[in-house]
Amino acid sequence: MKKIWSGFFKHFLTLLLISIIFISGILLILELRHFSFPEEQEEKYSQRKYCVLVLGTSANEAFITQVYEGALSVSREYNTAVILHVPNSQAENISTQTLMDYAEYLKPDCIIAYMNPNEKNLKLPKKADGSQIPIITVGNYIPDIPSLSYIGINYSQVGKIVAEEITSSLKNSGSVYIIDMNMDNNPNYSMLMNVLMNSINSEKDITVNTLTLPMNSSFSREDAIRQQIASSDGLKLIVSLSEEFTVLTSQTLTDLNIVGKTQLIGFGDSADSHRYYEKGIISTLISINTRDIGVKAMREFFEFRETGYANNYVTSKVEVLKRSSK
Amino acid sequence: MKIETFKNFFLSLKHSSIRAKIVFSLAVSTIITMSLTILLSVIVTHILEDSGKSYQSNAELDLYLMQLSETEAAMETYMHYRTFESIDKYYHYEAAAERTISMMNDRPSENEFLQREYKIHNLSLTFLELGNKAIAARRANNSLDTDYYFKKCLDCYNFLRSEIIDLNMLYFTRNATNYNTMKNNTSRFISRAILSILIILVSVSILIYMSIMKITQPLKEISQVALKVADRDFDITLFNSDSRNEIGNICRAFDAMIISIREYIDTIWEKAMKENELREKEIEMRALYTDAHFKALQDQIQPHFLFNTLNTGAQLAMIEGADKTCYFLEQVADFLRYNIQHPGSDATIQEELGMLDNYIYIMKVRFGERYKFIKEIDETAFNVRMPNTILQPLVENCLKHGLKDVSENGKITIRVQKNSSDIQITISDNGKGFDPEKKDRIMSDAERGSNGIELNRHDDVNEEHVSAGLVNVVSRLQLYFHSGNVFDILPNPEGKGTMFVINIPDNTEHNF
Repeated sequence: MKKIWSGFFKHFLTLLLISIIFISGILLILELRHFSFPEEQEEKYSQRKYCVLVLGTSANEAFITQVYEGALSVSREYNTAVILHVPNSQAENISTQTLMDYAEYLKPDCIIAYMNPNEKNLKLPKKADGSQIPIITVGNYIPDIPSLSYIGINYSQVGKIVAEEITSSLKNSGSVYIIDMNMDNNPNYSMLMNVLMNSINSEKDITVNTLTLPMNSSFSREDAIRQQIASSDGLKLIVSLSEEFTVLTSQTLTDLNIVGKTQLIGFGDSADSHRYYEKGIISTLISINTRDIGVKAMREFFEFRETGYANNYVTSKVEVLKRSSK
Repeated sequence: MKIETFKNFFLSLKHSSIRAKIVFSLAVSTIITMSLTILLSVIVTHILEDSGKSYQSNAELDLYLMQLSETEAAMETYMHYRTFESIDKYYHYEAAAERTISMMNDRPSENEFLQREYKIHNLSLTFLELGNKAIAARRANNSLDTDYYFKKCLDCYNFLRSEIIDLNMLYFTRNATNYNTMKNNTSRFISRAILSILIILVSVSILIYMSIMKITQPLKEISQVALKVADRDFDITLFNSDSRNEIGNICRAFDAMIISIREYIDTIWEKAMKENELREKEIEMRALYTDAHFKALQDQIQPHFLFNTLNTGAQLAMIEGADKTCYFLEQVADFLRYNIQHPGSDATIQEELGMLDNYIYIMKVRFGERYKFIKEIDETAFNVRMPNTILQPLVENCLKHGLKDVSENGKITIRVQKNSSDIQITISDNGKGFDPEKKDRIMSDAERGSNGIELNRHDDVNEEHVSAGLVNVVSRLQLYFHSGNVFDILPNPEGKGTMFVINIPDNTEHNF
């Protein structure tokens, strides 16, 4: 009996040692995988057929980045690589023409470019054969530019939406303070304001006031907003038409501890804006789906490639997030 | 099927020769060691290659940037001074730059590095195209086009340079990250590798040790068994090995050898036992035969008739007043009576001496004062038993042989002496002595159990009768006392003559 157990133990020990040797060897071999970098593997499967260049100046970096992300989200659908080119800093003062020249040097299949208002005499980029590279404009509509399509915001519609929200928030009576952005020379802003004012003015019991920020003030924008809001009594509703002012106003309302007393209708689709909305500081958040602009731009270009036709004017979605009033 | 194959493989391994097992063990350990070495070499080579590769991209970009810079500088020089050297230099570096461009990624890509490379590729092509156009315009002395293309070329070059620097920095950052990752991986790998190698080496060493033990253990057992066999210790356990290799063969041969040795020993032992039994039986047979022969002789004599007749003669002599004759006849009758009443085996020393006295009286009557009989008897030995009719034949031998030619002063001495370990009876004469050859013959005859009787010999019947009597006496003494040293024939220490010595062991079973 002892001999049988001894033999069994020896066989078991032999198998165990052989298993240990194999497992140790396999583990050593598996260590090799730590020495290959994933980027090298990913590179093999990243090649695309088409190239779309998204251009914009640094002043509009946030906007154009959102457009880029929208275009990137559908790039695989169209077997396309999307390149974003935004100058590094505002100090470089690069013009839109410089960007166009860059595009001509790079020779992409399509360009999605942010147009500043009043852009004139732009020399559009050409291919090697001299034909124009298809260009889709965003930001501001410039009729003189022979773009394939313009994907933009219907500011008239936005003005109407803001007017509706004001009316709804004040329940058809009360005072609203609109933060003046000093962009009267901006046609889009002018259109928006015109439509807004026209719509509000039809409500006789609603008074529209403007919170004007001093242009050449030594104060920062935050202090300027704070000063204006603090000095204004009985603020029930504030409207901010830009994301930057929306966030600053939210911070001011929080600091002054008048969140529950003063409602805020703001613009923006960043994480900060949404966070203030979730906290209830912003009662109505109007966001323009900038990513949708990029998506639509891609679709227009490739529809043009396939059919030879594209929509000249496409508007992006406007989303309204609203908290129910207590 | 696979299980059967594995089973057959392991069985063949188990029954393979020692040489095959050793070679197999060595081969496996060598393969494992070599595999480890090769694996480590591959890993180290991979690490070194990756380390080198990681900064190769930077080096290549630096070189390309240098080529572009030289190209641009040569073009500028040509634009300004239109020298042969500058145009030659331009084309030289332009060719080098083109070669580099051809190796770059020329397709759009999602991967950031490949994307930038694509941009550099396209910008580079545009740069060279514009440069060539500027050169051509300069050659054609077209200042308008020269300025236009040169300006655009420089513009493009700035973008290109910026992209190359950005990509270089990106590569550098990635390479630095990869280097740190590789460094961490390497140090982790080294510690794991050392542990794994130690485990593998220890396991391999244990396996080799076990293999060696498996091979040498049977040899050790065989050597121990061999030493025991050499020491004539055959009480060992058989191997009963079922292995089909050399060790198994040796074990089976050893087992066969041990078995056959044991059988041989058993056979010899049985034979010896049988021989002993047969010899004892033969001795008993001879004793019985002698006894029977003696009894037959006694029967032949018809002792009762003789005894009765002698008694009748004694009475007649007494009636006639012949007292001496009557006493003589009574002594003879007593002598005969002793032999009749002790038909069996033994008597006490006292009884034996009594019978001897009767015989001595008869001899004295016959021979007168010719012989002298001296007795020195230790009466404490009287109760010791011995075979009967021992002393009388010895005395008779002295008279008939030793003192045969002695006409006067013949002396026979009878001594009974009790010693610490035995009782010694000596019967000696001062006659002619005993022939040593006859003594040897008598002793050997007694040893063999032969009575030395040859009834058909006639040349010296008396001598033959005396020898037979002495052989009978010696045989019966040896048989009775189970000893070969109970009787001896020596020269008389008192001078000349013979001395018969009987050494009776002082054994209680023969005493009262």
